[in-house]
Amino acid sequence: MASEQTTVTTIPVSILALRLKFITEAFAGLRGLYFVACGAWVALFGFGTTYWGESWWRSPWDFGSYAIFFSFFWIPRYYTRRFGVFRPKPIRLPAPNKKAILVAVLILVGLYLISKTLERTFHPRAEVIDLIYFLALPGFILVDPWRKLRSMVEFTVVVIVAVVLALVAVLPLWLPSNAEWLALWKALRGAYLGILIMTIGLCDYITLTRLLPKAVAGDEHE
Amino acid sequence: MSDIPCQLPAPDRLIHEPARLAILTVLSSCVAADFVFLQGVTGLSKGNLSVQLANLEQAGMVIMTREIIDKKTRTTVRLSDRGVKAMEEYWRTMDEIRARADNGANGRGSRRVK
Repeated sequence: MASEQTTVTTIPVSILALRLKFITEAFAGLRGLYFVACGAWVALFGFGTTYWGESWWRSPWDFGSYAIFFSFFWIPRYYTRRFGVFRPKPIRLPAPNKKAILVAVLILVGLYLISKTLERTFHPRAEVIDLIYFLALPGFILVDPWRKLRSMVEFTVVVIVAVVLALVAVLPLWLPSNAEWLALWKALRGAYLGILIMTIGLCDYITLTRLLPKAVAGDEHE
Repeated sequence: MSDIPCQLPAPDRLIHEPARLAILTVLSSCVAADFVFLQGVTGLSKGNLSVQLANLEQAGMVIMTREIIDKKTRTTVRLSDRGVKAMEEYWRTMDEIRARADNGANGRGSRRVK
């Protein structure tokens, strides 16, 4: 059979169901920069609550941290400029996976018991339970349903933040034990949850920018 | 000698073209999307996307709304009712084709084409 020379026109279309699903959930669930903003507020609020305590600085600090929410006016406009307009359908949350919840609870309880045992045995100055926070980030990589869409950039961000949180967790082992350092350390611990949320939001935003490359600016139609 | 099985259902050729299928798949997953978003998610060039959208609009599959915002044209696209039904029918057809292919692979009926 004679071979035919055919001209194949390839169209650079690469729609994957997973990719679309992620984009839909990211827009409908206000992920990405919205998470970063919320995480920043949680971090600032947690830091301020622990560091300032009953000091008069607490009120202006808390008030200032609410300013972060002004970003919720800017983020939608930025998303429209960067990604275009996408009006998602309302998403139905999946039913909770009971097995995963049970495993997560068992892990948390196990970590708590291990940390308390270590503290009773070795009496470190650091709170070992903080290891939960820096373990949560690598855990996020393992249970992340969007693993296949992530790249080395997101992985690097997670690893860097996890290492920094781990170093902060064990900082008192090296720092002089004076009240000022310990107060700062406790305040940094207060920001852990916010930092976790910011990291997840940043990873989602990086993934979104990769899945939706920037279109050339200008009028829409040629 | 060829044994051609009973005729396979034919998917809608308007939808089955890769670029149009990509556009319609994206629109099926949302209420509406604009030209810039469709261009980003499909990877089509502006010209190609314009042509495909025009074809789909002419066929009554999509509804396009154009508005001027900040001196720039924004084209928002959504599936029409006809487009929604056509997509459902298309996926049903593809499922049927796959089911028949699976049956063939399991040995129920031969397919030799010379």
